[in-house]
Amino acid sequence: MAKILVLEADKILAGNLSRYLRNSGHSVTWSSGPQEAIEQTDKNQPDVIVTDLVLGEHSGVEFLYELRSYPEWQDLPVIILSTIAYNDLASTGHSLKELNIAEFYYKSETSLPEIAKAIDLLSQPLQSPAGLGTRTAR
Amino acid sequence: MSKNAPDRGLEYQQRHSLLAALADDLALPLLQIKSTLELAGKGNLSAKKNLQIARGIALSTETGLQLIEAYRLALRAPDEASLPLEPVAVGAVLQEVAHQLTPYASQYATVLDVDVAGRLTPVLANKESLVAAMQCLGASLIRAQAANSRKKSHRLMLGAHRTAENVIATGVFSSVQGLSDRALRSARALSGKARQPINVLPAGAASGVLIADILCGAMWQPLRAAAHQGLHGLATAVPVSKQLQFV
Repeated sequence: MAKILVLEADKILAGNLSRYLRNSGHSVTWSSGPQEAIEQTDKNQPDVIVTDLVLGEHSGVEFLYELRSYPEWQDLPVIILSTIAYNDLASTGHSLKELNIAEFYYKSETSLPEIAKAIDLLSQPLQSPAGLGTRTAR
Repeated sequence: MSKNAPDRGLEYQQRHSLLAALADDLALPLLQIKSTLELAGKGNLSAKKNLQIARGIALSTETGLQLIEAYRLALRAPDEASLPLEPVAVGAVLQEVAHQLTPYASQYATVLDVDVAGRLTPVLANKESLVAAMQCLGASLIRAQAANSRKKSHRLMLGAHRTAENVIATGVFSSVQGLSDRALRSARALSGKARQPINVLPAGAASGVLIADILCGAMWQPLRAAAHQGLHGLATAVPVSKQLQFV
């Protein structure tokens, strides 16, 4: 069982993902905004964070820069489950380089079982895949 | 009168922005339906849970269909002749929209209130467009407020009042400070009127505001920041020329 922090602005999507992961045996906390997510990370020490890039208050990229600025969270596995396709990120002027992202998933092309599988892999450190995996728009 | 080239370009750009906004906004209810079905497929669920899931899917579907309808109206909106105006009571429209949006709002732990200050004269409006604009604006701010507030429950107000300049202002108002500014900025960014790197509203929220902005702008005035009963929000203004005066 892994402790998961889900950072997702939409309550319905967050609820579905959280319930699915709980049914898969994980412990899940949900935050809708970056500031709350930082506090939850501090409090709950999650094993994996799943975050969107489009959030309330600040963007997910800003959240990731803050997260990675703390030494103890520099290697905390982060999965991006994004409403923005990977290929479209460049047009927003943002880059995920140096943010140590474990996996990038585009919501429209990703199922809940795929996310659960990625979390299972990441929460077993010896079997975790190396580098940035991406599933982008075809 | 034929339009000159720059005007046609602008129109094309606006239509393109609208289509992109629709795609953005429509993705959300479809993703909600998709993930709800994936969750339902995970295991045996009780009849009560299945009913809850069916209701959730029905609401998401309805939201998507309302959005498509609003998009169709927004496409026609710049040509005002295709939007026949009729006498409309703003308060009645707000009540109707609140009634329609209440089940959707409750999914986001939001209570909708309607507040019409004083007796407002009927106004000239295309009722279908006004309802669609307020629905889009309301649904967008419901989602945006839930994402931007750390409270467990939320309140949103559909309001109308007469300003000191004798203009009737009507719109949607929230207690979350700065939400309306961010929503309008994000919406205008979609149509290229402002720049913002990554949207700070949840998926779809800005696009709904853009559609409402276009619909309101075609009938009366584009949306702008406004206050009502101490809440901040986005409202359109009904010019005096489109207010019906009883003799």
